[in-house]
Amino acid sequence: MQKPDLEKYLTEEMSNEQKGALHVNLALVYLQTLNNINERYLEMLKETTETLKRISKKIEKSA
Amino acid sequence: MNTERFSPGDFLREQEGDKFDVSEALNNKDFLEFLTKYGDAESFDSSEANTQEIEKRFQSFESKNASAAALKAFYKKEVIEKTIIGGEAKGWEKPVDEYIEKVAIENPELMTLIHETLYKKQEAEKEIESRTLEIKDILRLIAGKESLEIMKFSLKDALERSADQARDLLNLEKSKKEALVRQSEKAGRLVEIKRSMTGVRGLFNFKNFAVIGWIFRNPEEREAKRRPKQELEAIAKILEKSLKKSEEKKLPELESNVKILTEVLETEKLAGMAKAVLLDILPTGQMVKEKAAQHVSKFMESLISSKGKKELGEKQLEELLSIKKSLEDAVSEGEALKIMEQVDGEKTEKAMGQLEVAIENRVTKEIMDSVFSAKLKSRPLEEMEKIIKGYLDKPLNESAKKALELILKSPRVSPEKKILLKKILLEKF
Repeated sequence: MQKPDLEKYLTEEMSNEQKGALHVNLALVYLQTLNNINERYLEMLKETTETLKRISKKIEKSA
Repeated sequence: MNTERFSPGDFLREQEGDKFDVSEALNNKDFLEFLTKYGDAESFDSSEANTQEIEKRFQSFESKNASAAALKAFYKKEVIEKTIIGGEAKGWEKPVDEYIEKVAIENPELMTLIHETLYKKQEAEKEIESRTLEIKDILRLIAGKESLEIMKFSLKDALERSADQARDLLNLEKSKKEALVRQSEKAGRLVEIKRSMTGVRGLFNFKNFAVIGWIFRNPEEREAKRRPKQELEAIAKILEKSLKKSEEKKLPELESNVKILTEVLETEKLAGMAKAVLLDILPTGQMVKEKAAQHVSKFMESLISSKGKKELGEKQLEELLSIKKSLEDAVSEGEALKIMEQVDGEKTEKAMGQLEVAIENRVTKEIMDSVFSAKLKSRPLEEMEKIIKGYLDKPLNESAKKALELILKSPRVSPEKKILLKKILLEKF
């Protein structure tokens, strides 16, 4: 896989193939970062769901 | 972001396990072009015997198409539009398409990675959405339970106070009754004593005599002696009536109040009452929607009852048609009507039906009036067509068609007009 060179790209000295590789790799890096964030966010949501379920049950019992 | 699932090649199979259709794949012009880009294009065996490899390449082709679209949409939204790259990245799409195509052929592992990363994002977003909804539901439930508890508490408090008051009132009424009984009995006795002191019986009553009587009379007899007979009888009557009233009405009423309140406080009825009160005041989103839908329904009904029954004016007709159309749109979208059905499906349906009839009646009346009063001159067909022209377009044409069918049966319409109308009916509708 070709290494993207943003500086060179910005001077428009890159070939079409290099440009394509740069964009695709950038997109991929962004995507992977987003997936990592989503993963952590989901874990947080799962924990929240469980906590809320426990609270709900407690309220139900005390009613 | 392209939200379709990445399942390349599936559309060429009716069901899982069906054989991959090579001919169908080769009927795809773009896939054919994609195949030519492989290094072995010239020697590639495209017969059924090579189905496995063709299918593999077809999957690559499909994966490339789906991934390229999704990747580009994501890249444009998240990177191009939000980062420094933006202004400098004109013409980025073509190189990306070309590069992905190259990757699909030469680097299937990278293609798979892109594909899987996109798929992972898509699945995570779906899960986030459903988890968020679940959390919202639980929160609503908790809020509802808490509100219910608060409502139960306030209701219980209020009911307990009412029950205390009712019990106090009942006790008061009971003591009043006891006092009344005592007074009534005394009044009865006084009347009886007075009677024994007056008339013939009085002549033989030694207690009537001044000195002896004064010595032997008890306090009640003294009182009876002192007060006039009519007064004592009237008091006895009033007391008797009050006692009767208390026994027949007031006491049972108060006893029943106390009973009801105690029952409510001691049983599950309280929770039910609290829930009913709560549902009435808790403005959840769904309820707001339902209320809005009820308003629409009521508005429709009011239009139909006030204007629809009379002759509709042009403006009102347009108004009704536009409402009808938006409701029909809602039906096709499913969303709004679903809400309305939840509220009062039968009522809404009835309102729609009434509206339909109101419009049809209006259209029929208009066409009939125009046809009956039309005086055909030099170009009768054109003149008749001119009358009908305004009703040819949707959504009036159905009503107009029915009106014409009705007019054709009418003896009031001349045969010439019927010939023209029949031609219009057959050709224009």
